[in-house]
Amino acid sequence: MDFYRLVKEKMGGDLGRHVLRSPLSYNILKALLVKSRHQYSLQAVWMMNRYALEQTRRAYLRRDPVIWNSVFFPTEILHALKAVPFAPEVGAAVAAGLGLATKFLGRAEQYWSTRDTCSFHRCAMGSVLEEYLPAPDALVYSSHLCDGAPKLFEHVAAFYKKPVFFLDVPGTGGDAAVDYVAGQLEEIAGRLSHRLGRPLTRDNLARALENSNQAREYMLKINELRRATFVNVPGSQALNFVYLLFTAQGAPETVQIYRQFYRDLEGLAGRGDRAVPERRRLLWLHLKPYYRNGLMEYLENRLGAALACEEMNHVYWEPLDPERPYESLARKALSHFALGPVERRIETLLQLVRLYRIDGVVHFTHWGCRQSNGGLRPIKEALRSAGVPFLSLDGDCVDGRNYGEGQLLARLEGFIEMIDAK
Amino acid sequence: MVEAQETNAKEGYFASDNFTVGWTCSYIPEEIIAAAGLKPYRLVADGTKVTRADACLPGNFCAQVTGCLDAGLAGRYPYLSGVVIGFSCNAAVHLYNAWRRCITHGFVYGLELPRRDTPEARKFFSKNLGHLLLALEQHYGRRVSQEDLWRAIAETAETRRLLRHLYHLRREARPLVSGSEAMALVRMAATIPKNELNPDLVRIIDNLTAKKETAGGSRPRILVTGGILPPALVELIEECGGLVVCEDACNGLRYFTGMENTGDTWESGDPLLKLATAYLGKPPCPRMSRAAETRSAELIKLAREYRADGVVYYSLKFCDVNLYEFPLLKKTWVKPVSRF
Ligand code: SF4
Ligand code: SF4
Repeated sequence: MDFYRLVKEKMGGDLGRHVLRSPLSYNILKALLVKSRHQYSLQAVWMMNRYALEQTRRAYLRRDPVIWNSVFFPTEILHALKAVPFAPEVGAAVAAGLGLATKFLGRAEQYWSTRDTCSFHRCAMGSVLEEYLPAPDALVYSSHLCDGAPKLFEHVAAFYKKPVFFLDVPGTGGDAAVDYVAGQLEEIAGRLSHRLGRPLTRDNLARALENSNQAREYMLKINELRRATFVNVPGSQALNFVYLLFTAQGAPETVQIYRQFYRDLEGLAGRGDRAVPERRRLLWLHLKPYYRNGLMEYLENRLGAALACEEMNHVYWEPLDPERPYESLARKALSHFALGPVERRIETLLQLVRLYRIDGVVHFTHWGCRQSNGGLRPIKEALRSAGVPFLSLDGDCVDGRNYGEGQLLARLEGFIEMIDAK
Repeated sequence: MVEAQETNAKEGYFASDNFTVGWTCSYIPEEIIAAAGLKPYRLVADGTKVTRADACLPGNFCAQVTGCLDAGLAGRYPYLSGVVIGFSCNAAVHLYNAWRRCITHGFVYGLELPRRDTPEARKFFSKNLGHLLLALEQHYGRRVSQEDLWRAIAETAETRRLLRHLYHLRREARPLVSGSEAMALVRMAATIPKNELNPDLVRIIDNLTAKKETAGGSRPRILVTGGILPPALVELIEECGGLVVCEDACNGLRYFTGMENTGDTWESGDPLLKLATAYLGKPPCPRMSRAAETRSAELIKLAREYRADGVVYYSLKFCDVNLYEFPLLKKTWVKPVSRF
């Protein structure tokens, strides 16, 4: 079931500002989604789409405070405040899916004029300038893993003239770093609560952390199932679950969705069904193109290479301690494997290669992402030493203007041949 | 004189020993390296065509990172016995990764640099500085006393005081020093041990004031701002008939400005905390959180103080923090100072 096609068809093809900004549109879409439930092979995907529509509707409705978050900011705090988190980078991916990215990218380039930066940010900035997005009441952003996000948020805060709260997350620093980050989180939570007039009780925070822990448990179970012989989920769909990681950690719905995802996979595994014919098992690094493209389809269905694992879906953090909320959220942020010296990421990837019995690793090399792409060379070398073929696939997740599918497919074909020849 | 010293630095002024330690970012307190009896040497990409670094890092990384790595790979830093690489941004973290893997100089240290200035950030930073000091002591077999730290702090403060004095001379209607000369002097200050440099700096400034030869009084006065500046840009502006009166860059004004008040209270308390406070509190580089808010006001002030006729914003290609900052700054300074 193609969610984006449903949106475009039902909204009449003209995805103008007024249509996308109207909460009514989301009510209609939700009703249509209910009817199409049976068309979804994975009910969890259906539930996630419904949740995303509801969150978007709430964001435009503005009954609850809308808080924009950068994708690595711990959203548990926002859900404890019963706010509506909105990640502009996710908005950029959706815009690409709806075919709106080119318009927004063009607008942003008139404003800050350079294509040398990440298109998630350029597209998000363009959609802000075009006033497509739900206006924030406040913004929270963190420094880790992305240099562009803090700057984007400063632009957006200036545009909407809204308060902005910054979380500085170092890449190293041991216990001192935990104290430093925990202190900031506590301060941000207190100031947000005060600013929005929303009490942040210990109970609410504890509940959000428990939700986060439960979702984590299901993620672990899902990953365990995916490590088994059968790969039951197309990687493209599995990659869409980053929506929950980027905006919905701490929400009760996230637990329900992951629980359903686990049940879906259990059901498929029980019947011995394979959603993807599996001849080679790939580990996918970074994200994927969000505009219309046939990359994953081709890889999985034509080349018989299943995405057995995505680094984005790796559970790298320990369970949170609701008794020590800020400290454990700080530990979670600091434990990201891509933070700090590259050895952490390499170690994690080698571990994933072993656990998921990976035949080859593909890095989608999104133009403009310094943090991910900077590690390519050492990652490639470490994988080569471990005898694992590696492919860096150059492209762009949001900006489809220079997308050359033929070339990418040819490179993928060559890569699969290389794996087979091993 | 400026040229002679610069040439000395380039041609192996430090080659006679192995105690020179490179550092990469203006948020790295070089005082700590000096306190350990070592010679801090700022690494700035020299504009040479990058031929080797592309094999280690993607092509779309900034020229400061690829340039320094390339120079290291090509053996253009024969005098370095180690480097301290500040985690200024993600590209710099990858410079640290690449340096350790591709270049075999002994001491390689990655220093965490907070992106905000708060009491907690200063405390965290001072702890990191303690770790750096310990690592230097262990690697070079030194024992650094509090006196060593205070001495290095005092010598560096004196260099900064002299540079501030020099830059003040550039505010005059007929500046005594050109942009190219000023950049060369800042470069010297960041590469030559302060105890050797300070007497020379005093002499240079005395000579300039005595001679009263103007660097070009009636040329359009230009303020250059942005990230790390290539001297070639300043030279180009001056060759085209302009006169650069101030370089608001981490290898210009931001190398030494903003730390003056802390100088008075150096001799008491925890020297590392004092350093952390001074460095995080200096006029921010674009890498710092919400730098643009401070920087736009600061730029207007600088433009007035230095009587600038125009501003040139310079960003290295692929430097996210600079590229994203530009529209924010432009918006604020276009209005209040209408002739820009
Ligand atoms: S792709 Fe990279 S640069 Fe772009 S938003 Fe993500 S982390 Fe930031
Ligand atoms: S802050 Fe900019 S110029 Fe400095 S190392 Fe990072 S990308 Fe390069």
